[in-house]
Amino acid sequence: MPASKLIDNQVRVETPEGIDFVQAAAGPVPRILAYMVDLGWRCLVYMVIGILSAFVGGLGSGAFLILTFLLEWFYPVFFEVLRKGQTPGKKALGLRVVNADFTPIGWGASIVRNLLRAADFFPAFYATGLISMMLTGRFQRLGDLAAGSLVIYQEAERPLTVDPQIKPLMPSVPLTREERQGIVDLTLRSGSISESRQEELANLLTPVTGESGTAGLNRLKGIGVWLLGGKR
Amino acid sequence: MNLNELQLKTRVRSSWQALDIGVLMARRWYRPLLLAWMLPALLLYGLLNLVLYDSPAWAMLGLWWCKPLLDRLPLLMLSRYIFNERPTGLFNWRSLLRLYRFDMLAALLWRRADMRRSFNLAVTVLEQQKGAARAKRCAALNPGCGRAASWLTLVMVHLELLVPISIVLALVAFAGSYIDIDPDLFLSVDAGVYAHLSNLGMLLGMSLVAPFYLGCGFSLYLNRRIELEAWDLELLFRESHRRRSDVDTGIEAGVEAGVEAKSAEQAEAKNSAKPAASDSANVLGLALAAWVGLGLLSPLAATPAEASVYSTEAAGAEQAREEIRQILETPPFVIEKQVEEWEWKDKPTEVPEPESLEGWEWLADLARWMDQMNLGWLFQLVEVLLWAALGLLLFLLTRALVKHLKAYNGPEYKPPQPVAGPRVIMGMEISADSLPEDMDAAITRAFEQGDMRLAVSLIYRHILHLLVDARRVPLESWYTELECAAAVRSRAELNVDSRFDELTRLWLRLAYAHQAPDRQQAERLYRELREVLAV
Repeated sequence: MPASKLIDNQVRVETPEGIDFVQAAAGPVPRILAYMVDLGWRCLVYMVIGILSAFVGGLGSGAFLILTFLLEWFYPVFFEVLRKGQTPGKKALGLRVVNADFTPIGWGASIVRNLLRAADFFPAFYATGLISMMLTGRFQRLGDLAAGSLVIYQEAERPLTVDPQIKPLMPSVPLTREERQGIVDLTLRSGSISESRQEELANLLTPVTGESGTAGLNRLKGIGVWLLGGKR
Repeated sequence: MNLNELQLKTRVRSSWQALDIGVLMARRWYRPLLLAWMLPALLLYGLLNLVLYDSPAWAMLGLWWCKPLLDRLPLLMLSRYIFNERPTGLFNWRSLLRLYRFDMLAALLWRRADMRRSFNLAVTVLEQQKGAARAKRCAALNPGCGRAASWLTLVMVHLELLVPISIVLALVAFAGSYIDIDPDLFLSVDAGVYAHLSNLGMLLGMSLVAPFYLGCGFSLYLNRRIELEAWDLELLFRESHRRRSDVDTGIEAGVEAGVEAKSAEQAEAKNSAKPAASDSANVLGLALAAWVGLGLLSPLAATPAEASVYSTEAAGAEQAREEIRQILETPPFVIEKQVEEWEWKDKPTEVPEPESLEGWEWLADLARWMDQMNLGWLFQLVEVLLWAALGLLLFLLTRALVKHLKAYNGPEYKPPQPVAGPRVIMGMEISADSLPEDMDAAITRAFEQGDMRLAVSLIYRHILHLLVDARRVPLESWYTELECAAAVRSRAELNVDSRFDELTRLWLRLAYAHQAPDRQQAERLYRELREVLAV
């Protein structure tokens, strides 16, 4: 089979200065769940307003209709523009709406994006939007395509906790950036990888550590701690 | 399993992101996966119909129940595709039978309701585990992504239902109001051909969604294995190992070649030095000869190491790269300094002193003086003034705007001016100036003197004056008495009733027939009319 591009969910934006910004585009399943969370909240509000307006009579039902209209169309707009691109549902799933160049979304784009929900909804339950998401590489529904917006993951920062027992060790040979990242990764993830597997991986880096087996692994972890800033 | 061939950017992702990768995977190999699900499903549905043709609902239930088996082949194919292999050798009866028979009962009976099916399926199909071993393996893999696997199943079940529903709704929407569609058609379970049609719709929904469901589950499984077995690190370290061992052998070869070349040069230098010692006068020529000789000989000297000439060059490049890397690791590219006290991450840079303050001391003095004077109130005052100015500006702007808008309303609107009533009617002056100040006295005097004509004309004129100037009855100077009376009659809101008619008759009789009026009647009419017409 011919080699082809590797499958990846990351979106890259390059600034004029040649700096790459990388974000992961969010796909259908988490977005459906986020929508359901939002729908739940809206239904709750409708129920409360409905019960309250029942006491007021004709005026109440008029107010109920106006409020449901506003809530249905502008609930996402409000949250996306004023709450950093996150409706409550998106926040729960760790998602964010941004422009395609990762800048915060503004009123115009957000309104376009949300008014076109009507198109995405056709003929039932966002079927068109789902097909559009499956077809575009960056999981954009029609509204996203029209507004030039993107739903991305709000990456949580990884906690940098390492075993304090490990003694930091200066690497004896110069390392490339990828190697340094890999060694740091191994040090941080050593809790979830089996010991024997770690040794197997460390053996690959014998040219760096100069030793193999457990000793090599320990040296590698020492280098990892050193790279993370641990100094004696 | 060759990791180098993995068609996936290896990275440890969150479980939600792994689901997205699953969608991308399903998209890349959608057609074969779809067919691998749909064809066996159609076959199975056909077989079920041989027995259960009269109860389509049961046939559908049977198909639905066998979904864990139908999922196996596409998953196996996907596991080949992801390592860039062709799934040949899967499509013969024996291996297919083995695939479907493996752990079949458990999959169809007590594990049918497994919410994490797509995720755990990989353990059954790809790792060929069953029983306790399988349970243990699933328990090891599940932490961290079991939740996402359950949500995945929930979402995909609904998407499967969405497909037939949206097909029907789209058809209805496009058909418009020309065709009356009986909504019961799609809901009835046992309606012969229609039930089979709706079953096929369901089957279509299942097969369209299945590649995504399997892809997402498999991607979750892959992600978990990448996390637990550090596939990404393996690929990285393997690459680094390959590069480093290349560099090592390259350097060794280079060093050897260098050493050999050096020894050859030295030997040559010794040879050429011998004659040079005998004659010191020809030093220059000898040196030249030695240089030429060296130049001629060095390729010969290099012959023993000819094999490593090219590797020397390659090693040179590698060495240079190594040196560059070493330089990049030392100052000034890497600056290491020891800081022993806390400091702000983005320390405010110190404000550079202005080069010269000459001529500007007064400003500094003023600033210092203002600091001392505690001028908070002044600033507040200024603030208030600024706000007031802003308010005034807004007001002026509004006014200008209003004016501007008015200017465009075409010619200015003028309220209709009250038409000045006639001063003279039927040759009689009726303006206020022409009437005496004290009407009652004048009328009484005229009656006393027996001048009926004067008295009644005064009354008539005053009433006309009131009608024209106070009540704006549109009388014209050319009206006759009867026309005046008609005009007054048409203004019912004046409440004069028939009194003006009476007065008119009285006046006509007096004026043209010289019949003396009844004084009381005239005075009564005058009084009443004046009362009614007074503004």
